[in-house]
Amino acid sequence: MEHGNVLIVDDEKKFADMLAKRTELRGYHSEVCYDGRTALQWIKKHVDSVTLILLDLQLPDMYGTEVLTRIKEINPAIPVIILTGHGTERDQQKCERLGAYKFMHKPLDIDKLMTILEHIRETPEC
Amino acid sequence: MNDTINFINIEGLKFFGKVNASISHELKNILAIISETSGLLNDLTDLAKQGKDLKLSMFENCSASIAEDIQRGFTTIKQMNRFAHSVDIPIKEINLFETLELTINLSGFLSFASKVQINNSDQETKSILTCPFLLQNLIYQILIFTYESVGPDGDIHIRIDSKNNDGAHLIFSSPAQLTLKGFPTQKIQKTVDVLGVELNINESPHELDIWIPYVSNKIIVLAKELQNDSYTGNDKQD
Repeated sequence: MEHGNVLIVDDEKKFADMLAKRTELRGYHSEVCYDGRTALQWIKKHVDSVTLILLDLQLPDMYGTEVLTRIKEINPAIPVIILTGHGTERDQQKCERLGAYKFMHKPLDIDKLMTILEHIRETPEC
Repeated sequence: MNDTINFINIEGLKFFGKVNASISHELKNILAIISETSGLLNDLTDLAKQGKDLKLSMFENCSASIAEDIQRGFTTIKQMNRFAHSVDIPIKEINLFETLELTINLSGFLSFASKVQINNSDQETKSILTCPFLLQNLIYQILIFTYESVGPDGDIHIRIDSKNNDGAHLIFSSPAQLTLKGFPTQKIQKTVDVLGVELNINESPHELDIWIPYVSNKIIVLAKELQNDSYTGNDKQD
C-alpha cells in the first residue's frame, strides 16, 4: 500500500531519478519532472492526489519561485519543499513568503524527508 | 589605470565570479547525485540483509553510476583548471576551436543552456593573437544571449570559417532562428571594441558572425597598455 504521491521537480535527471527510487523503496509513489512547465501540467492533473512536491530552485525553463507561486495558485494546501544546491538565506525567506513548507539543501537527508512526509500524512491540513 | 584596462578588470572579475558560481553548482549537483546513489546502494544492501532477493544488476548499476559521476566531476575540474589558467598571460596566441570548446562547456553548466553543436571540424585554424580571457567572456556572453533566444530545448549551431587569410569567422545560427532583439548589448559591444573584432548579423541565412582577425591593431595596442600598467608590471615581478 502506497503512503502517498511525491513529485520531484529537478533538472538534474539522475539526482531526481535516484531520489524517486529511494522514496519508492520507502513506500511512496514518486513522479519525476525535469522542468517547470511539465511539473505544472502534472500538478493540474493530479492536484487532489499529490502528498508532497520537492522543487529545485534552478530549472531550465522557469525559476523555482515562479513554479512555487503557480503551484500555490493551483492549490495553496499542497506542501512544497524547496530543494536547492546553493540557495541563500534570501532565497529561503522569499520561498517561505511564497508558501514553501520547508527549505532543504542538497545533498538530501532521506530520513529527515521521511519524517516530514510522515508529519504531513498525520496532519493533512499542513 | 585607463578605461579599457578598468573595463577588462571589472567585467573580467564579474565573468570569473559567474563562471565559478556555475562550476560550484555543477560540482554540488555531482556530489548530490553520488550521495543519492550511495544512499540507494545502502538501501539495497539493507534490503538484501533482510533476505529480499535483489538482482545483482541493481548494485552494479549504482556503482557504475557513481563511477560515471566521479568522471563527470574530474572533467568539470579539468575545465575549471583550464579556465583559471586562461588569465595567466593577458595577451597570447590561442587556438580558436579550443577556446570555443572550453567556453561552450563552461556555459553548459548554466541551468538554461541550450544544446550547442560545433558544425565543422576546422580545428586547426591559424593561431589568433588575443586576450584569451576577454574572448572567452565575449563568446560566453553571446552564448547566453543565444540560449535566451532559443530556450533550453533549442539548438545552437556554431561553425568556424577560417578560409580568409586575415582572420576567422565564428558563426552562430539556430534551426529555430535567433531572435536578436537588443543585440548587441552595451557590454558585448564594448568587449568587441576592446578585442578589435567585428560583429555582423547576416540576414539570409540568419546568422550572427564574429570576425576575429589573426592579429588586430587594437590587440597590439592593448598588449602595450597592459605591459605599461603598473599593476600588471608589479604582478610580473612577483
